[in-house]
Amino acid sequence: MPKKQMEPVNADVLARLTVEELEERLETQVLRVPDAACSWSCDRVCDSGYSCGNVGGCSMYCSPEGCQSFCIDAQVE
Amino acid sequence: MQTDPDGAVVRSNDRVRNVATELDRFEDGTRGVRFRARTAQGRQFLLPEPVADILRLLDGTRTPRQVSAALAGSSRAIGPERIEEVITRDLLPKRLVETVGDAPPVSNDAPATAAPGRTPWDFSLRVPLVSQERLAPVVAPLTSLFRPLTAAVCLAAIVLAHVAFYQLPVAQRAMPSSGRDFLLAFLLAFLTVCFHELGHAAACRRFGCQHDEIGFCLYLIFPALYVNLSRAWQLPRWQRAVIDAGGMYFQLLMVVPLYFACLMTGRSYWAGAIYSIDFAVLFSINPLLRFDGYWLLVDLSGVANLQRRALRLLGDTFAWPVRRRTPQLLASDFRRGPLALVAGYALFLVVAIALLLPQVFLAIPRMSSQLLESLARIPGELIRNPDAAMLHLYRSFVAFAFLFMFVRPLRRLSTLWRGLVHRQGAQ
Repeated sequence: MPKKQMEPVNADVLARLTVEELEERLETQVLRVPDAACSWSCDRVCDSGYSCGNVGGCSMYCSPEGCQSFCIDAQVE
Repeated sequence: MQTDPDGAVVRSNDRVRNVATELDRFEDGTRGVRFRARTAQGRQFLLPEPVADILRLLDGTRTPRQVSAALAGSSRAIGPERIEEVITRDLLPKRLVETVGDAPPVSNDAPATAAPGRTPWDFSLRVPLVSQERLAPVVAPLTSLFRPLTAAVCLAAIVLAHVAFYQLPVAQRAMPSSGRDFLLAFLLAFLTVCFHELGHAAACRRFGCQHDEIGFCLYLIFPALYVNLSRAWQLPRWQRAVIDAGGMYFQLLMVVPLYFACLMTGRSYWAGAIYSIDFAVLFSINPLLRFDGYWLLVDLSGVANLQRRALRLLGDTFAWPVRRRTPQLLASDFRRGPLALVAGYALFLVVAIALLLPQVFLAIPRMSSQLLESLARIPGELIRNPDAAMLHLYRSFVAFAFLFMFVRPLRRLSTLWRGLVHRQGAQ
């Protein structure tokens, strides 16, 4: 093919010759400690003479609300 | 002639052979036609039509010059120097072709074993657990759950079981009341996650496609199970979407027997497991991370590599003041809808990263001290208060997973640094 005819085609083709890797399909599902378990842990720990402050590293007293918010923080982390 | 694909240069008179095991059309949101090619090592690539033409013509008897001559009569004429460039830059390093030399030809049969690919950046750990061969006898009978009538009955059962469960008094306070109950609830949740992965694999088999291994991974900071469904790229979009939803379908199906167990025994761990399933399913719909919601978005929209393209768009956009180059994606032949989706997803990522990144870095010292503190307290608590020990064990695992997330980026930085030092030394 004469070079004159090929040049414009090549310029267009060059911009569209990128080969891209397809991402691996690793379909995941998170292994979580059941939601209730954290509240349970807080309750049990508080029942055993600990305060939430001791366990959670925060300055809460042992109350269901306090434990709950600690547990939510712990799960977010 | 060089036969090592790394660093090899192909010249006009070299003969090159296509060693891709699969080459078929792929719908990808572009105006032009794309093809999917798979290597013997299991890696898959998206090829524009002209590159697919080149690949097809490289049968081991032609040189780049002859391929150019063969294309000359068509509307996609490409010069031999450009073909050499495509082969040298892309096809040879990606092992889609090989130069004809001493190496024996690669079989065109896809390997039956798991096909290792590049582990994605967000997987800080990946451990294959059960191979495809071992999974096959378990997965085969489960494919019947995707028959339309069976699926309709199962979906109705899932809805009814949920409605009935949330009426139960135990559903109001689903707290395991002892360490044993807690472990049982966790074990049940683990089994439902295994069943989730089997759901993806069974859907894949239902459509006549091979799946690969099931394994354990650390996805960012989350311990997770995964199933490798990379071969499913060969299926049409709607079938891939069914595969994506298949995991949630199977996991939710577990609610039915759990509900009856909860109803009969009244034990809280059954209820805890049901809560866990519902939360996990809601969590996996999130499209920001590569969970089921992400894959559903990819497959329903037909835009492959959505996250990677969005990240590249962001990188190109941020680099524009320096490079003054139009982002590659905007210069491509993407249709408006898919382009808007990638741009929207990129914006979504920017907001999420801006919100999360400062928190992640601020948490590093806190998580480090938490890990040390919890590890130090576990031995003593095991004797005094096993419940507190269990909590510390959980907290140290969370902290460890969090810190482990930085291992791969640090290793990458270290490689870059060593490369830089090496280059300076050479100069």
